[in-house]
Amino acid sequence: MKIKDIALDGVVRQNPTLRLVLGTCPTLAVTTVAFDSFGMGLAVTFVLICSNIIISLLRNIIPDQVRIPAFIMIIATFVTIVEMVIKKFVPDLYASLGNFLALIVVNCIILGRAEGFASKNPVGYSALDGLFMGIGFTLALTIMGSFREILSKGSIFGLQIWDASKFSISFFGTSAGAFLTYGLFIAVFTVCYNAVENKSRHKLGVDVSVKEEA
Amino acid sequence: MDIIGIIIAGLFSQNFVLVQFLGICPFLGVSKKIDNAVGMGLAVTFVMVITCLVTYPLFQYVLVPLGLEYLQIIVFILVIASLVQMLEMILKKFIPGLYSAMGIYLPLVTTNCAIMGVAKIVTDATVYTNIGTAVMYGLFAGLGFTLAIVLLAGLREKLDKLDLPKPLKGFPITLIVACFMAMAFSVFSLIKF
Amino acid sequence: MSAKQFFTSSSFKSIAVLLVIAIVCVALLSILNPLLYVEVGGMTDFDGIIDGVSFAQAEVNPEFTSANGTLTTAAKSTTGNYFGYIATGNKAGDKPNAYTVLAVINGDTKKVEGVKILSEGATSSSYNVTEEVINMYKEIEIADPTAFDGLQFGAGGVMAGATQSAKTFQNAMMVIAQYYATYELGAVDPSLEIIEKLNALEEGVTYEKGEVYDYTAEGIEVLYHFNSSAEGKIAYVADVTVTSVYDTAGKEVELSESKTVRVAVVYDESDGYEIVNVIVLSEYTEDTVTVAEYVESRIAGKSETIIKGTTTKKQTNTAEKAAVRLLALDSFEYSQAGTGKYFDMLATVSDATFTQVKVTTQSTLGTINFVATGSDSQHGPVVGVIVTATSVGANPNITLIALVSTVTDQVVAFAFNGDITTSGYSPCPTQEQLEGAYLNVNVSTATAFDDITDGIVSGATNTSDTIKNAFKMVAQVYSENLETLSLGASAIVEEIAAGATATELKENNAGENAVVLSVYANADTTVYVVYGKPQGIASNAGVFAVAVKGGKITAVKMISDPSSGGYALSQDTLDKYVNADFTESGLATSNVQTGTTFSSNVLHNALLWAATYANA
Repeated sequence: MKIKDIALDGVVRQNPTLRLVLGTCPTLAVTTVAFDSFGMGLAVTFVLICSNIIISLLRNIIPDQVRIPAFIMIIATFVTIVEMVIKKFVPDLYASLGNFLALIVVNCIILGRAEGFASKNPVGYSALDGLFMGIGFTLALTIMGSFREILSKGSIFGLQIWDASKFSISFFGTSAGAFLTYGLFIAVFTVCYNAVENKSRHKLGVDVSVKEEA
Repeated sequence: MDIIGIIIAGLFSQNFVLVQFLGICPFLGVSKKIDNAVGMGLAVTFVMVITCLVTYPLFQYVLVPLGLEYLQIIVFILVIASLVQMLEMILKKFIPGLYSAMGIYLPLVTTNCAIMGVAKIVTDATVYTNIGTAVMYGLFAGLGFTLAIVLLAGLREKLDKLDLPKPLKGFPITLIVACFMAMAFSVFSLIKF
Repeated sequence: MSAKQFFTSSSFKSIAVLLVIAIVCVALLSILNPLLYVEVGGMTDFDGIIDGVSFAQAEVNPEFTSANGTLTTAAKSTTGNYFGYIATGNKAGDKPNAYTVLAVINGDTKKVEGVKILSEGATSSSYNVTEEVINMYKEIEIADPTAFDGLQFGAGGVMAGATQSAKTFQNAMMVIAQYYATYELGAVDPSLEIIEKLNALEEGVTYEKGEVYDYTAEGIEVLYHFNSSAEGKIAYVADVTVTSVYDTAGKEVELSESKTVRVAVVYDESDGYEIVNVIVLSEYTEDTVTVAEYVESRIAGKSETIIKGTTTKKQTNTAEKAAVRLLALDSFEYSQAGTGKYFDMLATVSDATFTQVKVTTQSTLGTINFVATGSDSQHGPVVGVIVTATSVGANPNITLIALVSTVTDQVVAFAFNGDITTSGYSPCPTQEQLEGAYLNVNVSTATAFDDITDGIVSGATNTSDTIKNAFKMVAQVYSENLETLSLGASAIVEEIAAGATATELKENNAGENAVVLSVYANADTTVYVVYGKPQGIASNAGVFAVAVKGGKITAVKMISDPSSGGYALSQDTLDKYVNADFTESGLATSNVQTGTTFSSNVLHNALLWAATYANA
């Protein structure tokens, strides 16, 4: 298994938000502003890496029939830790994320990776998998968050780009706007992804045929 | 919070799916057919009520007095997981009819933002002053979820018959429909009690 | 399966692994929790309290102190006129934690507009402060630091059934109101300044604000009451309306315009009811108005208020001096107002008119509230003792009202203040048990109740023990003040019938004009202790001991004199009954001392009744 594969999987091919459509609740809820999206992404990444590492380390010790409760406990611990840390050091983020920090524990992405990757792979790869899945999630969320923030408030990460009273589509700040943004992003990403896939498949096809001839 | 307030909040102005973004996964995943949607909605409502019933006293009378609030995530999720497991076994054995209607969705309900979300929401003791209000909220939040998911299922059944461009098929169009539903429900937030 | 099989079986392994993971996780969190502990009450808590208003931290004035808790954070809104505060109130009662409350006050309306409870004092959520309660606070305009002081608890008021939580929450709100009113409105609690002045009067004596006695008087409005650290001293502040003064010639001059003067009086109730100090609080050109300028004796009941110093109305030539004089004259009445409730309590056990008696007895078991003597129609001369025994356990303190006959030195009646059988009190002994244990016990020794076990309810001893302590206090008070309280009946009985011991009283011992209080007998003589009810100006309790041997009176002694002035009954008069037949007819012929008919009637009625009783 190559690191490149893991990375590509996490960020693009199996991007949890835009391809697998997992962890949708925080995606819709926190992407109103880029800062919150980024914060949530980092928090999830942290939990992903830590829980993947621990679960991978313990993968031969945890009996199969109790793996789900065991994974849940481990994930819950790291979620609690990340909540404590954010509450202490970035209280603004804690206030805006609210209950969704705690809800990381039921984020399908984390349990999914624990079950699907970390419990079957060595620590190093598991950690990397957690990292890149987290990066994929964070990227997707931050881009969506920036999109919504710019259009509804004219700012990005709090930095005012233009005066919102001159031009803003406040619709993107609403919950309906969240749904629309997410739907559009998935659609657009799918189009791009398919286009790239087709291109590379075409390339491969040509090469193979050339080889065969030779 | 009084009863009317809880009903309106649970069903409309604080609708779990369309306003609070809780329970989106089953909302998107199990809304292709109305029958499935109903089953899922029932399962979620059922689990929500029982969760509130158990986690509220657990939090208020055990964790808070002992100063162990920081263990709430672990405790809640374990309680919810165990509850659902037990529920599934009981249903399967004693009420097979109900089990076939919603039992298969129960495992999906466990790691669900909606359940954990409602457990966290009712920890706010200034609003949910007793277990009665907490359970009522759980009930109506669940019913609100059911309302949303069944509405969506109805719409999706119709959508399936349309010929949509490929990229929009599946999640994108579902989300766009949900966007319109959210717009409709946002009217309710104007109702104040 | 065998032990080895069990320990290697997968079920066991599963459970074991889960347990280990659980323990490790919880341990890790428990370690991290205190490290990452966030002080409750940061600025982020202000967000969202008032829509669209954010707050910036403001400095908390370090000089601020409150008796109700501490103010941890102050904030000012960046838009609009809002003041935000976070305060932690003192715990009330048995609350394990204090309330930390965030309140936002609208500077324009001066009312609380937003409240957020950051951490709670309740042990169970059903005792949490509800929206309705919080709304009550929101309706009060904070004009001065005492804005939230007088809230009613109980039904209809600020939280029924959960008063400790309500008081804990109130403490937090009071701190906020005090800080806001003091520093934002500039309103200073006036009583604080007054306390400073009072504390400066005498070294080592400090004052603190207390509850104003329930008292009204014309032209005098009592504003504050202060209890002092010195036993018996109180201070109070009143606005006195002066309508006339005396000029230097001593003539009364009416003021064209009445003047209101604020005066503080320090009053000593402990040993003779004295004004100790007076401070004129209103603006006044002279430096001091000393108590020494006034003297007037005032007779009220059997107590006196003495205002020491030189006399003369000439000294009241200013409104301020007149106000001081008026208030000083009133002070005895005011101090008695504090005792009004005790007279009410005594009325529940006796119909006597009581007069307070000052005792210096101290008890480690509780507080001795009140002692007073009077004449009961049924028991004769009695002393009422009110004590509050400190609770021995989870039950509240118990206030006992005991009636002791100063003739027989026995407890003749008792009652408790307030209902002591409601929930919250451990099961209480029944009335029968209590009466059986405590009634008719001779309390001339402090150890009178030490051996009582009858009143103790098994398995629920807190209330019983507290009640026993209360009675022990009564015994202590009575036995320590035996000379002043007891009429010494037993000694007199011993005098006229050596070795006589108490015998049982018959049922109809109470007659129309007299009551037989106790009967003693030795081998040949029976002594009847009789209480003769007041007649005319012989208004005090008349108690006599008559010794009867062989149907004839051998001696008559007076235990308590019924006459209240004028001619007292002499031993000669009493001796005139000696050798008379102890029958109605026999007594009828005995002499009645002229000139003191009332007292003689009392005596005669008493002896007649004793004879009727004996021969019944």
